[in-house]
Amino acid sequence: MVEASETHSGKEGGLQPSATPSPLLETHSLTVQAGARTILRNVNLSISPRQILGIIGPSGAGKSTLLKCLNRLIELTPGLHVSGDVQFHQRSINAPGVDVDALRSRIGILFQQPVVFPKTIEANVIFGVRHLGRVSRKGWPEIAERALREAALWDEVKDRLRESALRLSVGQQQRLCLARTLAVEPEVILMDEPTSALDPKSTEAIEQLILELKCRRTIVIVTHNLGQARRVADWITCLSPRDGAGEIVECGPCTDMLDQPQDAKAP
Amino acid sequence: MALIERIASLPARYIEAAAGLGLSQSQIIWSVILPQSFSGLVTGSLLGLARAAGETAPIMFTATIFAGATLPHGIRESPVLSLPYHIFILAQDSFDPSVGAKVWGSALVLLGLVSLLSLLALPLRLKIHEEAHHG
Repeated sequence: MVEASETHSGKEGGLQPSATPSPLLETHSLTVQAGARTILRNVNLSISPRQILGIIGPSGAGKSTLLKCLNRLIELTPGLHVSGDVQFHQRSINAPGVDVDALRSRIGILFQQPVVFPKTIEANVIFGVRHLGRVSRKGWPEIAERALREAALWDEVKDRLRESALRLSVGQQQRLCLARTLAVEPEVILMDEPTSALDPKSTEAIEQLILELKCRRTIVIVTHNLGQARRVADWITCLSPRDGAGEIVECGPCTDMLDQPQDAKAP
Repeated sequence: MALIERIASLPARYIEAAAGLGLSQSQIIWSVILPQSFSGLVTGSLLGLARAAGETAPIMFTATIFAGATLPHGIRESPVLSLPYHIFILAQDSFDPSVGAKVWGSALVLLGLVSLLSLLALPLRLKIHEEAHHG
């Protein structure tokens, strides 16, 4: 198994600090089991700040499971046993005393299908912020506008913030979900095949956004689209099922890996 | 029933999405689960109320006409019979042949009431079901 080196620097050196950045998020021998069946085996990953890590691999390789382990969302799925460790800022996220809700607000997630609440557009954007109680009610419109601008949705919805979010197209809903996540100002955004339910135009918009976000945030994106991985990711990890359990078969900088795969199983 | 059905039909993705934003469990209950099951809550309460109101009528009927009850003097004292119990007493206690007609009459009233209530509740239940699975 090839592990992500902890000393790599990003593809675009200008965006990385000159000294070797300490990893923001790491997994150590992460294994997930559902009863007797192993879903993920011995996954070691290291993600540097402001890097885009692409996770690719066939269906059933445990990509989404891996993603959900990174912010402990996996705990909402009953019957799974997680062993190994995940460290965020060099501290275990499973340590006693870690506030899991605070952790999830720092490591946001975007799902494959946009999940908008049956509320107005504005209410959706500030949904996370209002409950975290960091900002007073007066600050909400400003946050909503900033997040919607960041998600490139502001111009399309600025005149109908009070309309139901369910009236938006799927592509707009996904950008609304991204705005909702961005409003909470997470350090890391996990994306689980964020464009697989979208049309090509919305996909392009989301990919463009990912590239724009990268100078401020760290992104882990699961995708089965190699073209997408090539377009947005700096570093790629390929998961592949071996004896039914997902393992990392290859890992490296985007250009090297997609052009010269070293493992026959890698794409 | 209506409320439970509404909550059970809430897709897990809403809860995951809310948890993914850093909401705590109680915040998820207040801001996701309850608002989205509100219509179920209201219709459930209405149905329950209608049923309780409907069932009071046969009790009053048996109490005043058959038992000649007055207002009770204490909590444990219960001068009022429910319709099914009224039928039971009539059928068991009396050997008078004329009572037979009263038993059948009471049974018919009970049957009529239950069918009426169920019929009234049916469209409401169907609507809730529809909302729960396609709304």
